Amino acid sequence: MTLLEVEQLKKIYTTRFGDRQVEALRQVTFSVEEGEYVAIMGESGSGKTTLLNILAALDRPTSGTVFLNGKNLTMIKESELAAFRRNELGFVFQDFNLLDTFSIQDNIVLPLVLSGKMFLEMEERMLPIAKKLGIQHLLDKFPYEISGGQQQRAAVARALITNPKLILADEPTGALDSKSTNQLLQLFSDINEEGQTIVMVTHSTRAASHAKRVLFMRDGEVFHQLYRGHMTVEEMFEKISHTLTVLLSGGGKI
Amino acid sequence: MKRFFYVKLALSNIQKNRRLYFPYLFSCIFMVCFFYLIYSLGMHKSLKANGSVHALLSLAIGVLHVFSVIFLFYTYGFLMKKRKKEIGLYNILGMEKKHIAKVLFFESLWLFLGALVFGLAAGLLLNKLMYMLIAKLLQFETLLFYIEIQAILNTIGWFMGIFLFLFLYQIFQIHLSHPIELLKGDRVGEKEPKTRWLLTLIGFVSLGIGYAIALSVKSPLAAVGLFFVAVLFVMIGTYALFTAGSIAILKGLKRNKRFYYQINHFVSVSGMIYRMKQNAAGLANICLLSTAVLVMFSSTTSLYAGINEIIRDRYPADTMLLSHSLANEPKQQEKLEQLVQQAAQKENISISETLSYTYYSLVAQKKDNYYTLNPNQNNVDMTTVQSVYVISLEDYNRIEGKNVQLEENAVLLFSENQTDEPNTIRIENQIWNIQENLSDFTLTKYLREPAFVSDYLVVDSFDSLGVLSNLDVQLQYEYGINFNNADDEKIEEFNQSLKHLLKKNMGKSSDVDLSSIAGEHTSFYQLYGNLLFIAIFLGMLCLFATVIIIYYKQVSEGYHDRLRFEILQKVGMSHNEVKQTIRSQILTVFFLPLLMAIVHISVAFPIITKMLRTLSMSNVSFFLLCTVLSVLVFSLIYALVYFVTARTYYKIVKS
Repeated sequence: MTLLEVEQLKKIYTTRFGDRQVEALRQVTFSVEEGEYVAIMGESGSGKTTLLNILAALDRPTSGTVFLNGKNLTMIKESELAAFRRNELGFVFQDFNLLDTFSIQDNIVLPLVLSGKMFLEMEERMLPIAKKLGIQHLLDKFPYEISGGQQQRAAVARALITNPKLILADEPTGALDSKSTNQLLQLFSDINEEGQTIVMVTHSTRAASHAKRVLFMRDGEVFHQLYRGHMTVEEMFEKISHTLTVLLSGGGKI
Repeated sequence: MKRFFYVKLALSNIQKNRRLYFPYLFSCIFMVCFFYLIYSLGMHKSLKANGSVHALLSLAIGVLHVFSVIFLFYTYGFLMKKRKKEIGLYNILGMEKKHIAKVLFFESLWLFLGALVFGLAAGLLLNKLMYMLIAKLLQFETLLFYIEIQAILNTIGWFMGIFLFLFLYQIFQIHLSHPIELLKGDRVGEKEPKTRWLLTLIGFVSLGIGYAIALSVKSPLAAVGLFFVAVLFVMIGTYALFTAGSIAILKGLKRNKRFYYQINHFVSVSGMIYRMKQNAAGLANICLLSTAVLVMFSSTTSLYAGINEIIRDRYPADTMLLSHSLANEPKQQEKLEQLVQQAAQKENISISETLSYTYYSLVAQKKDNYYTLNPNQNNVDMTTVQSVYVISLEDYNRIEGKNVQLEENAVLLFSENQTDEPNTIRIENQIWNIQENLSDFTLTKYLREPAFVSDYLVVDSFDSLGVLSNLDVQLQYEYGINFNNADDEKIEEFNQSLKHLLKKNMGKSSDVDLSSIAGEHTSFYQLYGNLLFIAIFLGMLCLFATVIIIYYKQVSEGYHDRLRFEILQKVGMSHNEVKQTIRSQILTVFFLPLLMAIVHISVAFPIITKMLRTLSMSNVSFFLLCTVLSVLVFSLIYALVYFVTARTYYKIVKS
């Protein structure tokens, strides 16, 4: 079943004084099946972040449509957006975006509090997730008291707690050391195995090599894609590296 | 060329950081202007001649010296915190610390020059206005206007000193720090504050003690002494409660899971804990400054506006004659009355009423209706000390128009603040039965000591007061005269001619003393006008400090909240929800001090009322009116300041 359908997406930014227009997304079309794990790769300025912002309903496209689970994102009313984002999407950011005024536990349950759930239910949902992510002993700590990898796992827990249809990850390994990176990628693979759909934006080949499919973006367009098939992570890594080399050296078709 | 580089860099730094620097510059200008104005008044020739005015102005100048230092250092602290990052960047880009010092030096120089030029210009412009204001308040004819060079020089000198210190302080700070630390600036990881139970307890206890003192004081004289004790306790209590108490309460709320994990409480409570940690001292300052403004304004305006009533209270009769020697000489008393009539005829002034009476005036310590006379001043509880006036039944019947007969060994009693009705009363070792506890007494208006509570005894004959003959207490005779619509000048003329007649007819040994309402208006206006002026001046200073502190608080809150605002939105809080929680937090933070200040002044009301009694202001309802008005006006200004600065806050958060 198709979970996410992006059609003819176009986004044009007008510079501050209105004299110049920048085309961030030219024409982006792709779809994501339920249970897929998709990485979107591209250089800085290729339009990855713009795309992710539109998928996250944080930004609206100039033209084109985004369907999530059959619902047109671009048509949702402003007043319902926040609730939609909370219930249907989970976010993992490069710099974690944990609130330093909350303990880890409070950070994780934040979306549930915003949805007006009872505390007992919050605890019921949070404890198994925390256990799975190996942060159950950190629940009373504050973000500045724990390591980056632990913070990112807390952020993943926060993203998972609402049982979202789709997890959107923006450079989730960007601020992590290699050990934490491997742990996090393993975690993503695991939750994907359990059926969670993930769309990850990254320019780390290592991160992308864990995905089932990799989309390459350049100049606001989806340029190329790779399926993993039965390749191992290492094989996928080499394939992506190779593709990138060809793409970057200005080659046309692969 | 190189030198110009630093000069220009400094100037452009100030312009680029104008959101931080302009309020600072503005407060410097304000301080310079105020400093010059008060200094020039303090050095004014005609004001110097007046002792009480000069003393109060000197006090104001002293306060201003201290205040300007604290205030400028405080506001500069805010500024420095925000600019650390920029300075760290200079360091990383290759500026040595001495180069940074150079930039900072020129920044300070620019600020100093700006503050001085604009401050002095404003000061000189307002100078004349200030003279007019004080002349009006003190009811001086006019005040000679001239520019006091010495005041200008002193102002320049003082602020040069402050700026130099500020500069050295910065250099010292920069010297101590590393570039990375500077880059991080104000974003050092903040720990959740701990609950400090002891401090919370201290806060509640000392606030309780302060309030208890304020509410329980009975005697006006004790009020004056205890007021400052109460103020001290309330200050300690306020600081402790704002810093520790607020966090203890919030953490208590947080521990209540059912309450805490709700949309409206979740973000607010945890946010407030951090806000209170950062702002507690500032908010306590705002609270105390506001209270100070309210107390000063309400009491001095009520004194000034009630001046006529106060004078009437202190001088129940227009002219009053007092004598010891005439007390037992009815013939001489008659002669005195004739002389008064004679003087009135001569000056063509019409007497509306006269009143004469003889009395003993005693100071006693009262305990269970037992008076101990002439208490030893050193080891006595001042709250039990009061005046006792003894008058004869004859005078009482005449004045009240009654015909009361007293039984053997019986007296009448009128007590100013007694609720029970005792049956007997004892002075030293003599005991009387109380025939009647009176409910009103005409002479209270005439016979009273503002600082004391008074009792009045009516006795059959002074001879029965055997106890007093052993003591060195003298009987006194008083004769009060009121005129039909006479002005001060007319009364003064009468007084002079009466004095002349007395000297001629009563003999050299006469001890008749004359006191009169005439001429008192001027001295009262000078004293209370001066008090009001000082209150306006200190009030404006406190108000201004409050405004600036609120502004900087808003700005620094804004920078802190910007990140939080973004994250909350990303995680799924709607724009409106975020705005609402932030608004409710900000409102709580800024109106808490005002609320607390209003509670403070409400509790302080009784004790201030009693203190004002020592200044002869006893109209409680009028003082209440002044207090309510002060609170209203102040709250209005406060709210206005809040809304203006809140706009800056939202601008920062949204950008």
